[in-house]
Amino acid sequence: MTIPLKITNLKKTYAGGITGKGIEALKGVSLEVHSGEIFGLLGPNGAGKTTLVKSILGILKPTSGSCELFGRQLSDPTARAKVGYLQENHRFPRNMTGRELITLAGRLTGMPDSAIRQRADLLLNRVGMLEWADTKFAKYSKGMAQRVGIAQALIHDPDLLILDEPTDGVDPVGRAEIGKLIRDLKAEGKTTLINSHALAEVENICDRVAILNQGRALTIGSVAELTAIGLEYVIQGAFNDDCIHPPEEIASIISFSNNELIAHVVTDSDIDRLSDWLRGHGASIRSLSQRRRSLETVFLELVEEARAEVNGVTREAPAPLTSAAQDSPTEKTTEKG
Amino acid sequence: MFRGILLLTFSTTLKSRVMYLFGAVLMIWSGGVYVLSNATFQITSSGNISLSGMNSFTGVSSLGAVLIFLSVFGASRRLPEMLRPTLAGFYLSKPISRTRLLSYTILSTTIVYSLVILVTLGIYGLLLHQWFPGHVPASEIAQQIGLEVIVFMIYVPMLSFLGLATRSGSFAFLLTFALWLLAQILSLDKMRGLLALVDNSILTQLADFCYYLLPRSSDISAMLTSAKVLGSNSVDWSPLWTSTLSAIGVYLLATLKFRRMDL
Repeated sequence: MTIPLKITNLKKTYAGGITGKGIEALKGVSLEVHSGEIFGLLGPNGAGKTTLVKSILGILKPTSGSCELFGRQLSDPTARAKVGYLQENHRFPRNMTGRELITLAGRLTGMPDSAIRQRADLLLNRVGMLEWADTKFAKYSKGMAQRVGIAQALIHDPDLLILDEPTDGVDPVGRAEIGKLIRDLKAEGKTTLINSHALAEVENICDRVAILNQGRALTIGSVAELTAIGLEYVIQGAFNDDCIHPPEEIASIISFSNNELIAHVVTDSDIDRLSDWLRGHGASIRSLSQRRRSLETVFLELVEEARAEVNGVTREAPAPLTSAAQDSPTEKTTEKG
Repeated sequence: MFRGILLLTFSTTLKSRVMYLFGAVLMIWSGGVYVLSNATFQITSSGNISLSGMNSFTGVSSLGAVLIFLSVFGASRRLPEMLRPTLAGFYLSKPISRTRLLSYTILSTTIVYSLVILVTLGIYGLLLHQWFPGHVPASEIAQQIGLEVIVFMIYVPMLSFLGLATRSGSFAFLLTFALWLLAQILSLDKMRGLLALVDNSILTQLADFCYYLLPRSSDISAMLTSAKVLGSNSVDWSPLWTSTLSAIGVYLLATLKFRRMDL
């Protein structure tokens, strides 16, 4: 199966103007977005996320490296035929209505008018904008414009959807709806690339993420992989005092209460031995999950580490996570992706 | 795809305020010509002179120049508007090459504003025909309208290139206007005389070069009058072809520029 998006060593240097000193916005980014997944691009301001997204679509001309959309090079405009894009901070013409914009988007992708009419109503309904379809953009709120923006990106039923800050300016209800829409699209087999600052949303929606900083990809991996804390597990149930000291060759307890304990096992396979041991000591186990950090914590740590490296400072090892409040375990009992 | 851009240009243009200007200019101009043409001026104590019909033919050419000015003004925002960073992604993310996007935009702008000029001058021509039957043959009015439309078509690539280079509709318009002004100055007989007086070969050659490089709009507009005076066999076609060649050259430059642009 063709990979929807493959980026190899992509570099982008902005011309430096009179001073001649260019700005290296991308310093060789390589990544792949697989079919059917929701991929998140994360990074602080100036990390190069928008530059990367714009380079993927040919809006910016990469300095070097390659980018393939469904196996086709960027130089081939038909490579974008299966791509839908919502731009960050878009300002669609104010005298245009939502329906007119969607119609224009359809025509630019070569769709016949009859198909555009049919699909426009469907999409406007899907994003909750059918009632406002014939209202001009000038009267839309940011959230409404964003919803129509998503609808126009979907008009030609693209296989890859690229959303740059899709929930920017959208209220919490709208965000949840957009999140649901993206998940529904995944269920339909569509691939989505999201560039967002909203880490909690990315954590909830995305299967894999890339964290960018200063033009480099610091890490790429599944949310589950990135947020998992090695050999630490959260076990919930009912525990008595006999459960506090498991054998050292199996595990050690990090924190303990009558209904939850956090344990550090020696090897992955020891989690089974630990649960057997706990049951043997009168515990009743209700759930067991790998302990996780929030994506925000991972993000901040990685960015901080990268900054320290740039500044030539050796970063101190992070303090052990002992407080449940510091990094609360997620409710997930199964890993994503 | 072209249909999409053409219809967008059409609806954007019809909704724009420039359309009111076209309407206002047409009303004022026709009203002025009607009043002046029917006016009788007492210029000597011995007699009166009537201007009836005198302004009607020159009116097409002058009104054409004003309409071209308005069209250039209206069209100047088209490309910079499309290419502003907050909208460029919408167009460039579609499966259409930059060359085609630019060509379609230039072509649709040319078609739509040419139609507007054509319709406005057409209405004016009909009014002239109605008010002063027999004074000016309809075929001559039609030919003059055709020449005015050609002049506008020649200016669009230049306007587009300047719009791309400056990314500003206002700057593109001002520069186009400045170039038009330069072309007018260079085509003046007095300018030729002045250059002869200076007697500097480099300056003369530079003036000649600029004269042939820039669209020779006034020469094109005056072609019909020349044909009437000199006869159709003696018409100098060079204003048309040098201007067309320079429009093609500027279009190619604009394409080259657009293909390399970061947006």
